[in-house]
Amino acid sequence: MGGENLMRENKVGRMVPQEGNGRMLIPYGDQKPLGHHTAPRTRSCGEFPPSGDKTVADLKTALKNAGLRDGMVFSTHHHFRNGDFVAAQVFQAAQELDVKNLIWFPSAVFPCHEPLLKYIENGVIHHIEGSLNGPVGTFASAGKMPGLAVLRSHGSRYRTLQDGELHVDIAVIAAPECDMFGNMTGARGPSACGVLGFAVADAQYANHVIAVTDSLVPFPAAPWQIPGNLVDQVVRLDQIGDPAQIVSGTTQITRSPERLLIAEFAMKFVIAAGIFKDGWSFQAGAGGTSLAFTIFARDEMRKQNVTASYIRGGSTKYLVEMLEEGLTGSILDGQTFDLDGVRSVRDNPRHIMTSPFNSYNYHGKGNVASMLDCVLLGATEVDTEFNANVVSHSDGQMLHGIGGWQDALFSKCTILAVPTFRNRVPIIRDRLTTFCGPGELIDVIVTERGIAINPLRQDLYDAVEGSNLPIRPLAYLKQQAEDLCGGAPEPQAPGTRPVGLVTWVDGTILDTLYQTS
Amino acid sequence: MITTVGFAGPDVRSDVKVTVGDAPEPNLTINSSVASMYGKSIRQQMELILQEFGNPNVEVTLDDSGALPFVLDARMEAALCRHLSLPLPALEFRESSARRYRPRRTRLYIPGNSPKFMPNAGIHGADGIILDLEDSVPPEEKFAALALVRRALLTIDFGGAESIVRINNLDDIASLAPAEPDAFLIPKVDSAEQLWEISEFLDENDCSSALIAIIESALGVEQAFEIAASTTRLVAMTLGVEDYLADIHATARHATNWANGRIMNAARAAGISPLASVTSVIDNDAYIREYSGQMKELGFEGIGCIHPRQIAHVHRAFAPTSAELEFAQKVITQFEAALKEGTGAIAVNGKMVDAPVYRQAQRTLEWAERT
Repeated sequence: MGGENLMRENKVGRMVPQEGNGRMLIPYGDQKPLGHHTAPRTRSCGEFPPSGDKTVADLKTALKNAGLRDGMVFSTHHHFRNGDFVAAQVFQAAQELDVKNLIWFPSAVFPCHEPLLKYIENGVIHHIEGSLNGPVGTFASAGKMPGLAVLRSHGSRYRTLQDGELHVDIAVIAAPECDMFGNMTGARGPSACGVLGFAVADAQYANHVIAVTDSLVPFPAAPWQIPGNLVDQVVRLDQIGDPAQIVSGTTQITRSPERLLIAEFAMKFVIAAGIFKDGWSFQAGAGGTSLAFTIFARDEMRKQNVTASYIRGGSTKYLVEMLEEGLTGSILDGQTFDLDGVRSVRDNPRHIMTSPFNSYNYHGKGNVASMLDCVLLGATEVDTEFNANVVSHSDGQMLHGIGGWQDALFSKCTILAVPTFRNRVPIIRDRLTTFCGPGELIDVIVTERGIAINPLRQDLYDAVEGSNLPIRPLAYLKQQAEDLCGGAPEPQAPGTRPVGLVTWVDGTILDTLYQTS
Repeated sequence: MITTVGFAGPDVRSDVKVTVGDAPEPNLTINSSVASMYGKSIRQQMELILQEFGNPNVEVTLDDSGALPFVLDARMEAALCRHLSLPLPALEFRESSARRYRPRRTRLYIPGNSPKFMPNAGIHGADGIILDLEDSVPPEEKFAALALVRRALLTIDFGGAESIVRINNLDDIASLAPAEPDAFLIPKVDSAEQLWEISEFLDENDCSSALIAIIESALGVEQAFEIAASTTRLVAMTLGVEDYLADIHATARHATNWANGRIMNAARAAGISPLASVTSVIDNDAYIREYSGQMKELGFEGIGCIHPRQIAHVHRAFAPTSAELEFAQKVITQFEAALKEGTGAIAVNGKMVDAPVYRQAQRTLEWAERT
């Protein structure tokens, strides 16, 4: 692991290590790394039974067949969100097989993964290469994890595998419905979760792919989302997830007056700026303010007889209703949040499964995120130059994964919807605790006390001129919050021991996360 | 003996629990969710208050979930005063912006002991903000709420809204007079004498706050005009529906129709604003607009709100129609022309126009401009 002497300042003024987890690192801004298409080792069909039956008795057998040994890189995925039982069973089996120092490369971790921390403590897992949050983030921030947490966006995780920056030895993919050949889908089965987009990269680039399912159906499990030709083995498990935690069935619209006001300002802004028009496209997540924005957009679209050409989700029943009502031509779905989303992606050909490669990939021939007319995102902090933090709390504690946040910044109009303060924590700062996204890609900050437009976007200023929107300088919004909070926060002691890296979409290093006391 | 004021816990936001106990010497412990950002300033602020209380021999513990400075002040003061049986300390005076005529389409209730709702109360465009010390505050929290509301009045910018305090008892007025809210909302008024007394007290204490009366009894309704005309401080009047229904032994909402009419007439006769009752419906925008529209047609100038999202719908319903705006514009132009020519009364659209109609037209335009 890189010590302090190896730290170097990058283009945005953050100190980053030059080496980490055994790899050389490129500081953000120094150079633009080229992409690759890594070619994983491929077995020939002759090694598989001609019957196409790849099922094996249990997970342990599958891991042994896969050549499990110390130090291997394992991947699992978060399409079961907080209801995932797969990662726990994988590392339980690994422990029983007595291997050590595994590297876990999840697409995301959730609070349900807290019990896995014991495998770090007993050495089965060496470290986690992923965006950490919740109890796992707290653990890593406390400096208890050997190695560095490497935080990547969804698009960057795909790119990492594609470029060969990290090589996965064994990918274990939770498959809500699967056949003996390994064809699989998330749209059907008792643990249906919608789309399996996060697992696509691992299916393509991992050395060995194991599908685990609680619903083994006769060949062919069609239509499939991931073809069995990429799968080495199939294991039937009693349970792969808790359906109640996988999809909630109800996505609550916030009642917080501030969040609703922020969403309303954002909606009025996209109308005033001329972004809202027939054929527009947008992305807004399933969180409180984002969902409220989607609802307001739906109401305006009905009222003004406007339709979207496509909406990128996180799909929810609200997006599904819009699709079925004809308010949008299609949904490009990266992650399905509720049962209506699952039903829709199963039954409606205009509800399209996407992987991070389709939506976000930086080393690809075009980036769909850059085609979006606008995206609405959150942030934990914004600085006076519109740079933003989404991963850490203001005390430096790992709080959220990057998710698709960095990737979506490439849209034509990126709106951060944030309150000016939360619980006496001012959001607009002179300097970010952690640098996560460059301000040149962040166009508008919408708060409950007004809207700030990035000075780089004179066109947006001009577009909303004459509207009655509360357009304010970012410094004014900052002052408002500081007046209420009793001044700017006291300066934080600089961190000394790196515990994590914030990577940019191209794999260069944006910032360092430090151990917190 | 241990005294606690305020709330702490994983689900609590923007509040602080202050625990005070007797001790051989002064001691202050601070646990704060924002210790890394405001730890030093919280300590300074608390030490200053302890100093003002003469550094009593008490052990004080703060469990802070991100309370803003005015909340820290209020909670600490309340806890020390409670523990040491002292009255709340005097505060600096605040200048009231009490006005007789102003839009009162929406008055938003904020529970008086809920600090998290206060800093943002003014950003939703309500015409009035009511900091409530009455029904929304449980008896054991009244003192803490009073301390909090005082500090909120001195600190928070309510965005030009009329700042109103609904009192729980007359002592509240004495405590709050220096903080001069724009108006006191007086519940359970059933005689003119009640308002005379309050008015006199405010005169003596050089407090310019206006008064708004809530009539909540059969007797009060019978006295409506005497109450409405009791003092020039009284700017508006409304009916407290639930208590009134109980008092007349009725359960049907339309049993309030006569009382509402009585109050409406008395208010207009006395030249003050008649206000309609609160609606607690928050998830049905169409209902809120319909209710507001009906109240407007009955002559009421506004309704009470319990959630900020009601406000825009109420304002839309109370907004003058284009026909009303056009009429108001005509009235003003022609009445002013008539005045210049020395003609007394004129007719617009076949309607007699005199000074009251002219003033109403001015208000229509003035309020339309603000919205």
